[in-house]
Amino acid sequence: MITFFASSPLFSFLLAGLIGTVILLYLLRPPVLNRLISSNIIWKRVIGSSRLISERWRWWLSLLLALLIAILLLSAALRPSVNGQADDRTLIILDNSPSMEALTQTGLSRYNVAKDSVMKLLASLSKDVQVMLVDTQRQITTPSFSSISDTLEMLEQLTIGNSLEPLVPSQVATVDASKKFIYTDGVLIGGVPEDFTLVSVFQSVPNVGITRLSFATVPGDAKRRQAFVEVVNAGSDSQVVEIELAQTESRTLARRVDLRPYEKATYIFDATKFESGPVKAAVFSSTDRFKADDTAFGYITEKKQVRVGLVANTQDSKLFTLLNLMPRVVVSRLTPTEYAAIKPGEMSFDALVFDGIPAERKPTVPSIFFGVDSSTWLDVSVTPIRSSQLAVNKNTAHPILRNISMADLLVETGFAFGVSDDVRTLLEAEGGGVLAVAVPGAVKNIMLGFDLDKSNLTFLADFPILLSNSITWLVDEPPILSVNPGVVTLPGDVTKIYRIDGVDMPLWFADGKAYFHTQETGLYTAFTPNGPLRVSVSQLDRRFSDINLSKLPSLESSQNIVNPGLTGYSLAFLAGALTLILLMLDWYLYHRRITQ
Amino acid sequence: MLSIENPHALWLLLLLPLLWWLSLKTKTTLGRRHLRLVSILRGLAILAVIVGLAQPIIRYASQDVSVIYAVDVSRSVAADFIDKALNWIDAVEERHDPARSKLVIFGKNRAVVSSTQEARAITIADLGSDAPLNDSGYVEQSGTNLQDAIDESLALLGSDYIKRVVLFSDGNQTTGSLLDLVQSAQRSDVRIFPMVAESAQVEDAWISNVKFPDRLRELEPTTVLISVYSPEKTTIEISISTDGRSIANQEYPVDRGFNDVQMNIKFPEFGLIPLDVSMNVDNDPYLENNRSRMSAWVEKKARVLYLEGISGASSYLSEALSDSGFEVIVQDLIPKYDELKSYDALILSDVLADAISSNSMKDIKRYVKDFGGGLIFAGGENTFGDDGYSNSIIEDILPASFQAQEKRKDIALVIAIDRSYSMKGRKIEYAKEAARASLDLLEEQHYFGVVAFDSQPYVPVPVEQVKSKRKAEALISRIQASGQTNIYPALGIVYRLLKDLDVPTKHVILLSDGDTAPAEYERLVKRMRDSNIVISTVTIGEGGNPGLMRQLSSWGGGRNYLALSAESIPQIFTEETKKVVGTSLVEEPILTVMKQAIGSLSGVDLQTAPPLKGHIAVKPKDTAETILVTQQGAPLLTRWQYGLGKTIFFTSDVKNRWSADWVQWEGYGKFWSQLTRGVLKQLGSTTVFFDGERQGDVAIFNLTLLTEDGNYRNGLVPELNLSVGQEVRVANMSQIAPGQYQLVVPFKEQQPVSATLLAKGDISDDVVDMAGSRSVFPSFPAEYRFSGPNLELLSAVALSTGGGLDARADQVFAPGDDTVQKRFALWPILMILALVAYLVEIFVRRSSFAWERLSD
Repeated sequence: MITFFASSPLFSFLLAGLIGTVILLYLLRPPVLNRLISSNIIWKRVIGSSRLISERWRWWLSLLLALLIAILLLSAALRPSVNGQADDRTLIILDNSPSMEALTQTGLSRYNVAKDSVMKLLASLSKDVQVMLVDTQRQITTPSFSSISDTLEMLEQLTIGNSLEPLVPSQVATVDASKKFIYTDGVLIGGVPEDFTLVSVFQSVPNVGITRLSFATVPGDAKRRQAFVEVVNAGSDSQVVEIELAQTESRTLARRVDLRPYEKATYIFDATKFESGPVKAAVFSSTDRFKADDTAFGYITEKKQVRVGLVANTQDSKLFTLLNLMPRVVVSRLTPTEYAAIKPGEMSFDALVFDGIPAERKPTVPSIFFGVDSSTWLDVSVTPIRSSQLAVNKNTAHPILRNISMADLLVETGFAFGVSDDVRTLLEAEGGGVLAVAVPGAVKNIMLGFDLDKSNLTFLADFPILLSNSITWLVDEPPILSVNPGVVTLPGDVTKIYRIDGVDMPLWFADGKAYFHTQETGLYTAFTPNGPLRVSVSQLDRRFSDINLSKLPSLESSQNIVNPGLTGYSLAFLAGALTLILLMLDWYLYHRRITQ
Repeated sequence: MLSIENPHALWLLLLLPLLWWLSLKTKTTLGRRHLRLVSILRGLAILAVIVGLAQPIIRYASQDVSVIYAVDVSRSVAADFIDKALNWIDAVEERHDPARSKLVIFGKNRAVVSSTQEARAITIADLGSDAPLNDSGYVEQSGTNLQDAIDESLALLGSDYIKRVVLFSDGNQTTGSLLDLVQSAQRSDVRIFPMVAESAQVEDAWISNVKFPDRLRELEPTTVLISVYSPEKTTIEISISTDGRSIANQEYPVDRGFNDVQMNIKFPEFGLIPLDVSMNVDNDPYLENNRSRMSAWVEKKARVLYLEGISGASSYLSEALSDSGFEVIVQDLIPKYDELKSYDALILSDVLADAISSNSMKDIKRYVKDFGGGLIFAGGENTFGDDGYSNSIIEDILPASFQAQEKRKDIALVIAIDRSYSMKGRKIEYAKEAARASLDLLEEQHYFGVVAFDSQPYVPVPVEQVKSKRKAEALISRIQASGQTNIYPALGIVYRLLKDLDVPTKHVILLSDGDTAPAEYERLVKRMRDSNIVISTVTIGEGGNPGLMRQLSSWGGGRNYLALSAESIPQIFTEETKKVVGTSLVEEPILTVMKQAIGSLSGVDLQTAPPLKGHIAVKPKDTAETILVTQQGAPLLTRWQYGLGKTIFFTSDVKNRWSADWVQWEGYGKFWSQLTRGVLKQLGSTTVFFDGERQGDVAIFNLTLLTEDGNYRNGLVPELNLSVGQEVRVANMSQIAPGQYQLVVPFKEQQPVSATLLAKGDISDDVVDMAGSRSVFPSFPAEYRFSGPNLELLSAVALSTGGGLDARADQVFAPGDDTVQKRFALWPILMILALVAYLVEIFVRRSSFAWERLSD
């Protein structure tokens, strides 16, 4: 139903006034002119007038035309509504969620098909129509009605987002627009409201994607590593694909596998030959139409081999035996003199262990100090412990003390550390005093304020685990942070983050955390005072690969190009155009004296 | 600035010449001036319509402000503040009259309204209400989703206004992340002005966290760590119950802020135990957050296998351990390995080495080393020396070896020989040979004496140091059998001989058939015990009174032997003398001294422990820990790790001989139960790890499977039997990493989710047993943890978007340098212009006045 200002009293008043005015104007009688003319002319006129319409009909025709023109002009000025919705307003929702990146058979992505279709729709709309463009990734933060040219500009700036939970502002449901369109593949957006004209760009296409990637050291053999890859065939056809894990050109693992339609398969690779560092996983398929899930990035944080230098006076050290038993540790004995002779920059060890030997200078590699005393190089203060003390785990959450108990550790004599923000307390004496600390930083240190022979530490069942945890904490990088693209939350002590190609990503800080935004998958390295933190940005999510889970009609069978024809023009525009025609017609008829 | 949206329409201007041409060809009678005026008016109308169709738009700079008021009505915000916020909005709306404004009322969900009147009409639904989240008339206050509320606010602002969001909130978001929107706000030039909300119920106390040890056992003392927040220094009462039954209840003093309290409890049964931890605080305004529900997987009580070498002496330790929550099984033999694995620890108390076969010893070694079972080895006279465990497999496992220390120097040994008529013949001869054999084992500094008795005792060899063994042997040889047996006076003589002798070890070997006259034996023997005199008895044959002989040894703290043949008497004497003289046996009052404090003995007050009466001598191994020693420094309690298991060696005994006073000591049960717990096989498996955790609105179950040799078990599809409320179903776990499987289950209507692994396919019953069951409870909403506003977050948002914290209204509405481009379409004006021109033209055409004035 067409209404004007929702049939407001104002409009009714204006309309009545206008009609009355026009009628009044046509009730005016133009004056009759008295002229002397020949009778022949009169008779000719009488004969002629008998063929023409009567004066009454001329009047009625004139009045009708005038009323039509006047009403149309008034309508055009006040803009009619259709079914209570602004006729000159069009709402377009364009789905730019990740599944829209899938390529259709035409070679264009679903998104580009949709975008082209939106552009054609905009081109077919009358230029007075205002359009609200809404995307499902909230890239248009403050959507509002704009001109078609402004809408086209916004459309050009839209990109495919990465949120797997598309979001449309709720105000869209109540927006005042007579025409509403939604362009989507229906994969992630779910149902389509009834009052929207659906333009489906869905087309089922082959896709194989990586949905999980992880690495783990085999617990029973620390030298062995396994890689876990989960691959999904999201298409309706069987696929033969090749899965490849690569670290360098020479360090690659590949496997050719058959995947049934919609199969999720998991594969274990023996990744023992991989060193610590980044790993790229890729899946190759000749028919794949969705590339975004074909690669994933991982990072092996554990060193395969750790070179440890044991600085000790004695050759018969239990520490040497224990270190030697650790599968990935290669331990070398050093006398204090040999250690002192190593020039800065020539250190060939990943870590050092000082067995009761004071280090005169700060080591350049991570180190464990047993029996720290005041003669040792120190960043922390120490005070002597006079009596035997039982130790208590002070920081069970610390990686060094994970899964172990030092509850029975007895220290006869030693030194207690001063507490500061720069150190993490590990063990505390029951009677007070910090017995062991971890010093984080670019070069980490672990300090125990007592000699091994002044305590029962080596007798404790958990001592080997303590030593192993310590080596891991000192030399291995912290576990990689795996995130999805978008706003990434990092620990608050991150100072910089770089993309793998060296691009410095802008960071912002709030609420004790650091944030950066990225749309690009790949490996990033964040820097903290405690060393690097690797960040893998990947779309490892089954929902990301399931690009064919849609109930919408396929692109081939749907009308993906909306050409509204005359309905693309607002009633106001049509009224204006019709008025123009009537004004010209009326002008012609008046001068032909058909109307008066 | 003018722009034309539809310039093609301007081609229609070509109609204007046509209009003029038509007027030139007119058949009307209009005069020239009249016609010109009418044409101009019609031209103007047509021109206005054509220009209108070209859609001219004027763009101009504007400082119109659009403001969205986002009002947090979640539970953590004070109700008074919400009223104040709405009043503030009313006031500023009236004063500043922004071009556009809306209100977003939010908590867990949101509602958009146009006025504060509408806002006040919204129903605020608290936790547990049935209000649907998508109903615009309800706002659920059990959560705070700042991200969703601000995102909606941004969408409402409109692009062609100066954009302001006034956020009334305490900043305590429970879902979403407001900071994720900062970039969007910056990109759209939206300034956010947080108004810090007053917190509701700031004087509320609540339970923040409850933490149990990973592994729990039925009836085992367990420490629970409970983190509570208290708004003031006060006393709280914590209760833990299961299925309505109270497990523990205790009061704790707490300070203002977060407090960690430790609560000692015992789980009364095994299995999946639902737990309800609740806190009672005086004047606590909000009780819903004083409760935390969870479950614990509790293993069956620890099973301990106890072998006691002396029959009838097992009750002391077994009862003490049973009272402390152990299941103690007393047996005489070591079971087969498979059965042995069903125990968490094995206690060998004074068991003869001969009673354990070589295969059983191997099983014990495997049980400790590879299975991780615990072993407690308690001493006694059956366990030492060359005939004991020296050089045995058991010795390998133990933290100390049975090697002798230096020989005992101060011994007084008296042999009391029944020379009654019944001993006549071979018996008396073997008895004399036995006495000589004992003498032969002694050294010069030792004291030795012989008392022979029939109805009357006499002393053939007086008690003195063994200077000349030959002389003593000769005296022994002269003993002849005759008369009746009377033991009592003989013991009286022995007592007199030994009581004043200043040697620590005074030992008597009484040889008789026990067929004697009744007397006050018990009183006499106890007097002898008070003088540290130990009596062992050797009963000849079973015809006399063996019972009396056993009683005498029992009262005398010694051993009783039965000599079924005379030939065995010398061997028995030799064995007994070796035990007395032998360097591995010390029988004297022993005070226990703590050499090294260990967690397993914490709370055990050894100062109150009575003396032990003896121990065997051992030598600790290099890597063992010596925990307790005698006052002379001899090891009394040693321990070490052997493979996966732990072993303890207690060199005294655990029964009513050397520990005769200990078993009466009140710390006896605590001492042994704590020590035993310290060696129990570690709970849980090294090959199966199963746990459940809550993450927001879902329960996540993780399962890690390893082979015995530490390799990952990959490619399995473990199944879980899931129970969510009344619904029970089976669901497959998915592999997510090498050896790791996971299942994510959403919570339904705040119901806990329970999961049990099913034995199917490659998942064996053993794996299922090791995994146990897990339950995950939905969390009490974080909204009810009142701890003041999150100023850091609100400040960060204000700073990042160019807004301000707690800004004045003037600052919010001041556009400053902000301007936006607004557009104004000329269409309506042009249409009205055309209409007016048209109406005027009609008037000019039809009015007499015009005809008169414009006629030629």
